[in-house]
Amino acid sequence: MPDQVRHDEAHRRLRRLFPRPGNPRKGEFNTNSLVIDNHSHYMRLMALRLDQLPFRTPARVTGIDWSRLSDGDANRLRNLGFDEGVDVEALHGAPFGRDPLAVRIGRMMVAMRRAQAEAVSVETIGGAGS
Amino acid sequence: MSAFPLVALVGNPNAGKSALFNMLTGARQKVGNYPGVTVERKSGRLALADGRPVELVDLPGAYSLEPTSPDEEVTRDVVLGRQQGERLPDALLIVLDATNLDNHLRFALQLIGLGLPCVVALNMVDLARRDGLEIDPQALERALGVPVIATVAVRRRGGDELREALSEAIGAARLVRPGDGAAATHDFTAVQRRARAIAREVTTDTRAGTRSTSAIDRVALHPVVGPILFGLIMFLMFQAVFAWSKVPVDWIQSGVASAQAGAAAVLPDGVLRSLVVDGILAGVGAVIAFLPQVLVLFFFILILEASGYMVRAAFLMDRLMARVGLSGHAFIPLLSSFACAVPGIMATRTIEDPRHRLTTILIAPLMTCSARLPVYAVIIGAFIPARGIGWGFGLQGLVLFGLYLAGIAGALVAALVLRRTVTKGSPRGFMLEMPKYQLPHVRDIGLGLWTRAMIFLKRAGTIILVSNVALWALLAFPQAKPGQSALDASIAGRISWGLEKVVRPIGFNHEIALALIPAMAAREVAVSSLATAYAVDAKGEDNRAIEDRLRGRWSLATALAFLAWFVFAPQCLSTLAVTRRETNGWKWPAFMLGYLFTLAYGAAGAVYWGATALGL
Repeated sequence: MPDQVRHDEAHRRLRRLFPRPGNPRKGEFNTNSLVIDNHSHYMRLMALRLDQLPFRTPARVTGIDWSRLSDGDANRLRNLGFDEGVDVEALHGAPFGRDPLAVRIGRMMVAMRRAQAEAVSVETIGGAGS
Repeated sequence: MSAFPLVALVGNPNAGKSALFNMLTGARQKVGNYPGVTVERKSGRLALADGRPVELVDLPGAYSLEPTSPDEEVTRDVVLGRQQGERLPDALLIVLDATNLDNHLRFALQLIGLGLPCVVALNMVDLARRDGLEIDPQALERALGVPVIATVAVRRRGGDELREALSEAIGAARLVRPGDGAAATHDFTAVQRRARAIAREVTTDTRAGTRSTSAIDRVALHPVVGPILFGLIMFLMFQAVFAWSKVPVDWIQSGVASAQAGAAAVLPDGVLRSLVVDGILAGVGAVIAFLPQVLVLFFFILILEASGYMVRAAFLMDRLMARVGLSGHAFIPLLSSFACAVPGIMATRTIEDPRHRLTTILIAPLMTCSARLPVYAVIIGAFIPARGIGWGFGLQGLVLFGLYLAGIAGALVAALVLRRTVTKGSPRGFMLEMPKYQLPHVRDIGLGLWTRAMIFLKRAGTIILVSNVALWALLAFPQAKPGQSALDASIAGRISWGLEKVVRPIGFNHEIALALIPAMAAREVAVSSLATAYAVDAKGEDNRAIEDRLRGRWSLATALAFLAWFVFAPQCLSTLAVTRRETNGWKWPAFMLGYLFTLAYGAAGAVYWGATALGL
């Protein structure tokens, strides 16, 4: 794949994530952490983590880094239904720092701290903010 | 009961298991404990469609056969026939939440794979319909290979069909399905994916999401509105404990007073009359008078739990708890400790991290339990003027609120210190399901209140009554010589002289020192002890209420120091006993006793000297 095509593809994904580029809803996501340079940015986009996912943006779990979690946390995460391919959406953040998160997984609501949400990689589906 | 076939009720947390259990067994429930562990065993009797009685045991909610808490371990061990003190069930009644099939089916598949006869209750089909989900029970039955009955436990729908299906299942030959069950359940991810595939297959989704729940959550979990709402609910709860219970408490007190007058009229003057009037009736009266407050408090706690708000409260509080080294998990046991530290400490078994759990156990007695309420109520009633402070709130309620806040602040500081010293360790996550909002059902709240009331009265009937009569004996013997105070002559009077020397610097008088001894059995005994102490001292001629008697004898500084003492003091043998059991030894209850008495002494001293310096 030529570099330009990959570059454009990455921008399209970014646009989907942020309908108004560079102007995310306040307090939800900081685009500064997504530095756009030549080749690496789409890689970072692919590696969007659940704790970075803007609120009310439907997404799909692409992978879970079980090694980042303690045995107990990993077990509980599995028991709550986290698995590749399931739909998730961050709905609420608790007061004082928007941590923990209230995450919808399938038809269930789950409370989890950002520290554990970091282990979950996601990609957005549909239009962002739709 | 053990002669009857055993059916285990098993399913995910929040599947409506308890409501189903209540529907099937009614009030015929027995609550006990599994040997060696602290997990509650709830069982009841159920008549099948063919008239055969079976024992139904309500197992703790679990997500899978891979346990993450002691509760879930018991569930796994029972269904595998490995739990000490429990037979292998003759059948499993699996409860599924129809609105959350993809998650709940995984555990169901694992359970069916065990090969025991199974019946599936597809619960909350009404809520599923409300959310736009149509589920085909026949298709689910075909996919699972076991009977599936649609139920709405809170509306008592589906009970007869369940009894019918269980009649057929029990006694049926054991199904062993290699490949389908046992082998497949070992691969967790495979079971998970199969569960999702089945859920997709049997569900017709006409709308997405759980609308009403997310609409409420937009308010209840709002970063600004959420905590305000939570604070209001807590404040309302504590005002109600005072306001709603006032009338029934007055009734009970006048009832006890007339019983005492009746007994005094019938019985001849002497030791027996003193025992009945000042010992038994006074003690029992003080205990029953306190029942309305317990019921109001448990009414709120049960509603918060049943409505699904309790977990939201944990969510809102997690950040705060994390700052003192705990998690939102600790919030629920701690909130329960407002009613009584004993169930609160027992509820800590849902905390996985052993250090979090130990810390929570150690600070639980600092949550103002309802046993302190009679103490607070009497002292506040006697020394704090019943003045309004605007908006319908009174100064007395404000002082009560302040005492609760003092306990909470003390607990937070204690947790912070403990987590940095004796329970040091790495932090652990906070992860739990937030159940759908539901209107609590009258029957479930009623049964819960009934169980709590019985547990409280049983405790009152034994420990408190015995300690009151023992106290009466200590106070009444030996009889005073003419011209001598009855109190000074008694055995308790002599014991308390030693104690008085210790508590004199914090403003406590001899009667308080005396009341602190029996109050070790239970805090509320302090009130009846004070009443008994002053009643015996006045030789029964003084019929004024305890409040009036205290007002004349205590300074305001002493009264405030007494309140401060009860915020912290571990005056409850039951709490220490349950701590011993939960921590498997005397080390932690001894530590708890030491650190809490130190805190209480310090706080009471600071308040006494502060108040004295201010000229109160």
